[in-house]
Amino acid sequence: MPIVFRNVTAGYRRGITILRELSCELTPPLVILGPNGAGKTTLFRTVLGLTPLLQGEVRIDEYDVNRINGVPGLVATNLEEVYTLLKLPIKDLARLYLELVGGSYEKFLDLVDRFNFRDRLNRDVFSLSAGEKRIALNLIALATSCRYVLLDEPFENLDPRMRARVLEVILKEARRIIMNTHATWLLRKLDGWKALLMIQGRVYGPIDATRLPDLSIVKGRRSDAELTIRVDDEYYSLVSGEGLRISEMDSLDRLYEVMAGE
Amino acid sequence: MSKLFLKYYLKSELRSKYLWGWSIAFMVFWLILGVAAISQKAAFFSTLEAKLSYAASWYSTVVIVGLGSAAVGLSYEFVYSSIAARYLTKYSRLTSSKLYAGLLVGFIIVCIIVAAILFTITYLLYSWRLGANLLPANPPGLIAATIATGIMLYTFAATIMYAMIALRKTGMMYFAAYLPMILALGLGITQVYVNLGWVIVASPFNAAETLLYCYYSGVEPRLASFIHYESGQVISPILLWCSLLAWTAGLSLLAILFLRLQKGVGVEELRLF
Repeated sequence: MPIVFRNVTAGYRRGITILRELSCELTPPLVILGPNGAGKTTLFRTVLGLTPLLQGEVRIDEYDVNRINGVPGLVATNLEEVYTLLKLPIKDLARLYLELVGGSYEKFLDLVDRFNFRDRLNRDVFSLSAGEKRIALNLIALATSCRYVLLDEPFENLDPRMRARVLEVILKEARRIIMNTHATWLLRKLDGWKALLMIQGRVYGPIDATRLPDLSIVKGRRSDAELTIRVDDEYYSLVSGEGLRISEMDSLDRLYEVMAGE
Repeated sequence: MSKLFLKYYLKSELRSKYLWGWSIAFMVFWLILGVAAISQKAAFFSTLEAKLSYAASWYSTVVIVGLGSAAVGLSYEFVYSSIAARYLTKYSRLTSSKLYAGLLVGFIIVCIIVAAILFTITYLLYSWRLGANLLPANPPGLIAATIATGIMLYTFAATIMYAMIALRKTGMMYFAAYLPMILALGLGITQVYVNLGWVIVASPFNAAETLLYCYYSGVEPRLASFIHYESGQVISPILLWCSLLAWTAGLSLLAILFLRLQKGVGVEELRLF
């Protein structure tokens, strides 16, 4: 069973909506690709109950997100705001969250050793560098036994060596991972994964993640398009063959530059 | 209540530099000032009652201000836990009631620890300087008043912060978080020098301070400043207890009301705090 969005509008109560009448299904293993500001994190926050649902319905398996209460083992995440309950060293934070959400502290320690992270366990999350913080929260989320693990930009601020290690662990846990990223370097490694494109609060797809790098973006609606996306009031097609390939963009943040240059 | 949450809440609070700085170190500085002032009033301390009363006035003031400072940390905890709690109450074993019961019990324990440290330092410093054994006249009363003060401050901080969240006044949260300390400091110190009259009963901060003072010194509660205490009108301690409990009950109801009214402030809005 996937996570299902039905006609969802979500955002902030001061009239700022990020997701507008969104309908989609999130089934692991899934990567959600989009430039910064596309609404990827808000999509996750809506599932987690952090961003108010203004309209529509989000269901996780048999549960309605608005009514769900006290169900450990269902959803874990690496989003920092979820870990603000108490100011604690990483080891205590991991122990507390894994006990509450459902998971294994031994598995966490095993992951910690694989990342040579033991010497940071006595430090507070807030005192870690951006990259260290990302690794710590990725590891806590991955050490849970949750059915769905939502990873928000799990490679952000990591050096290439750490990125490869994180990807290795993610691939092992693929059957429960839904991650979002604006990076494209990993797409060819996501064999068996589906990808959704997310731009300006709208979701396009799914499409095989390994297929995406070979596609190019061209202006207009094309009959041979594998995906057609809308940016502002313009349509763009993802086609094979011509134009700038997605694999040639390091980050989907370049999407707007590409579109502006068309 | 989640024992694990309580354990880590206590660990988090007892590692807080803010707590040790404002609730302990800063209050010890005040206690030392009180000791330093003794040489100027040597003639005043001819009886054990006068010595006990002097120690009690400093103790009750630093406890009310120290616990008010501790409540600032609690206010922050309410705001930040309100983000994490939205996730945890849906997807973990931690229910809202367990979370807030854990915070309440945890804060009371923090209050007892802070009060115990301040008591030990007051006792040692003032007994040494005044040359008398200045143990409190009514230790169970003192402990009960400390716990009641902790509960009142908990409901006060909860009401203020939930009101800010419910009304989405996120820009005012920084000021609101400091309200317990500002009021405790302002009203607590004022009572040392100024006869506040019936404000002593009406204000929960002063009612608590007076109870602490009376249980330490063994004197009857009066509507008076601590420096001209004998001139004030005697009142029943029951009045002070009723005030403290009525405030606690009223603030609890308000906190629950605001908790129900708040439909969630976006994370980005709370980040402005």
